[in-house]
Amino acid sequence: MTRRTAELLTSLFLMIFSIYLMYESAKLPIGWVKGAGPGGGMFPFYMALLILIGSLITTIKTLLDWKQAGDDIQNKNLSPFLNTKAIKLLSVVILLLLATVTITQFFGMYVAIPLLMLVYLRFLGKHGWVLTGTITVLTPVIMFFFFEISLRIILPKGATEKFFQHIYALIG
Amino acid sequence: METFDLLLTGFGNSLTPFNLVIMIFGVALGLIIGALPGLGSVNGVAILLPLTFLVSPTSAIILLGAIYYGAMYGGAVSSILLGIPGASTAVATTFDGRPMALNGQAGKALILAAVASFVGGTVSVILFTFFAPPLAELAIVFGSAEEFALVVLAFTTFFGLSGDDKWKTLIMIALGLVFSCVGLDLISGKPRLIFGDIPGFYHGIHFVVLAIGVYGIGEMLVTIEENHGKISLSAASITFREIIQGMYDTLKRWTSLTVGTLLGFFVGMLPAAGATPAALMSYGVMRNLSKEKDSFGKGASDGVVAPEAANNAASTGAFLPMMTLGIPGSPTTALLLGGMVIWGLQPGPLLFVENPDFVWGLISSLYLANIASVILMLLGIPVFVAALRMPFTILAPIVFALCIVGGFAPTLDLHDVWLILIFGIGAFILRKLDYPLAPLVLALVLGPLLEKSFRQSVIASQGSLNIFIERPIAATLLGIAVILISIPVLSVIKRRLL
Repeated sequence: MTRRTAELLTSLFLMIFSIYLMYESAKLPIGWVKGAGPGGGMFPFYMALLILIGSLITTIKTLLDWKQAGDDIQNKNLSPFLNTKAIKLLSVVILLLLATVTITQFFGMYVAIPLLMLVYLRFLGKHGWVLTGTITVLTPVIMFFFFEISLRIILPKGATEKFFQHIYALIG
Repeated sequence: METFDLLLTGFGNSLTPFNLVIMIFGVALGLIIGALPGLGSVNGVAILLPLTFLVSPTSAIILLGAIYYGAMYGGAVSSILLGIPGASTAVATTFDGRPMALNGQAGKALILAAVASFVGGTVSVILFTFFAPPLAELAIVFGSAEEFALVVLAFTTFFGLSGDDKWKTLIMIALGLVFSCVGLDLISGKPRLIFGDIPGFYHGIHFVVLAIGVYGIGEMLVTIEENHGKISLSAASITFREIIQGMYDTLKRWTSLTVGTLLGFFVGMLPAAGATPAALMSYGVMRNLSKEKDSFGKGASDGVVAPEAANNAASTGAFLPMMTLGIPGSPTTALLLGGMVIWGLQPGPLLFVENPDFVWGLISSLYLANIASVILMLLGIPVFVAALRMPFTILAPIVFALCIVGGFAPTLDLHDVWLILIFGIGAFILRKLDYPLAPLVLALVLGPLLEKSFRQSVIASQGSLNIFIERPIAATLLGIAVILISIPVLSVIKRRLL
């Protein structure tokens, strides 16, 4: 994908998103309420309108540059949007992050985060099993003592909730 | 001499053993975060902010202030040793710092950077100490009309002063302001912009969520994409003698120090500018002033001293409007401001009256953080070299894990962790297309104040807009805002006519 395709797609997305935002804002009064000033939806409505105007102008600017660029390969707008060597790695990382949060939803953070560590270190980083294993095991232990014990922030546990009741019982 | 007494009391607060330990820990952490490529002060503060909710506000701000300062110093380390800026604020340091390292003078460059940072940081804290109280006193009479005018002015600086695409800046400000509207409407109490009816949006979009998405996930994705190739590390070791010699060398370059510090402090105060442009500007000014113009870019000492003094001075300058007016001067101070609200403090002029312990504790800790930073940086050079050897594939999953867990902590809602991922991926794409992200974060933090002050002013004047013209301070501020907006418009017209 060239940079200008990405530019156009982003502008298009922002335009659609801004129209949706206007629709959402309009659920509250967007006009001037007599004697009380602006209604609750007015401020976000007009801000969304500004996004729409800004994206329209950005689109026009990109299209004008398109004409100018012609077939000039050196032109910045025709250069690839992303470093081609990195695209595969990037997609894997993004999928891995999405998987981590999905797993958190069902099995909690104490399963998801060590899994993230394991996969990243071993398969993306190609680190040895000793290093991978140490970090993977240590992470949930540190998380537990730091968040649950010292900060008293209860992290999501999903299906592993029962298991933690034993740990809490042990600690007292 | 009232200021002096207050400062002494402040030292009394910040010098408790606990706070000192926290500060040294923060500086050390900041130095390492700053030194790691891809992470700077704003990333460190964004990722670690959720962890501060346990300690007292004074200790929390001391920790974050120390990270902020340490990271400013640390940014120079990877600029010099790796040739890639450890943080965007240290970009200008690569211009001459890297050539020095390639000439075998890495140690000297690091000392120059450390001492220049110390001078820039300390002198600007002194300026801050004397500027802040009178400014706060002036601002204390501000009503909602003046508050509104100030926030508008803060946004318009992005148009008049920053080099980014104006329309993209406008889009980002508007987007941040819309995000700030999500949740319950301040005045009517009705739910607003909850995207259909998603319960997770009732509590609004927390600024920590956006900040971690943009500066945590987004930043790491950019680093993965851009630094896919190999990075080479320069060796550096220094002796005590070289440190003394380096201090002397730095202090001899007082023109660079003065230019960097003053330019940094005043540019740093502007929300649109901050440490990166301040450092670039002072580099440019010094190149023009210098007698050895040709040596710039090939390892000129002034090319390291000026930007390093400037970025540290700018980081203090950014505190000034944040503490006295409640308008942050940089993305990092915007996060600190958001943190203060969570800790139960109201940033702005009243802070100096109502929470003098907090204010002066922070100011005194900035003096101490500078001393700790310069000492730790010089002693810690072997540690940084080791830290920079750490493969990115170990750092990245740790940062991702911190982002996910840290993003859950402030609201205890998994919905926000999903939002962090969405913001992170979105920010990555927007950044690749040169959309500026600082205005987005600033707008989310300042949005509620902007809307509240506007609606309160209008309610107070029975629905009339005249209040913004009738009040002299508000009118003046809005006048300046109009001028700032017209700068780019006028320049376009001028270009068309000529």
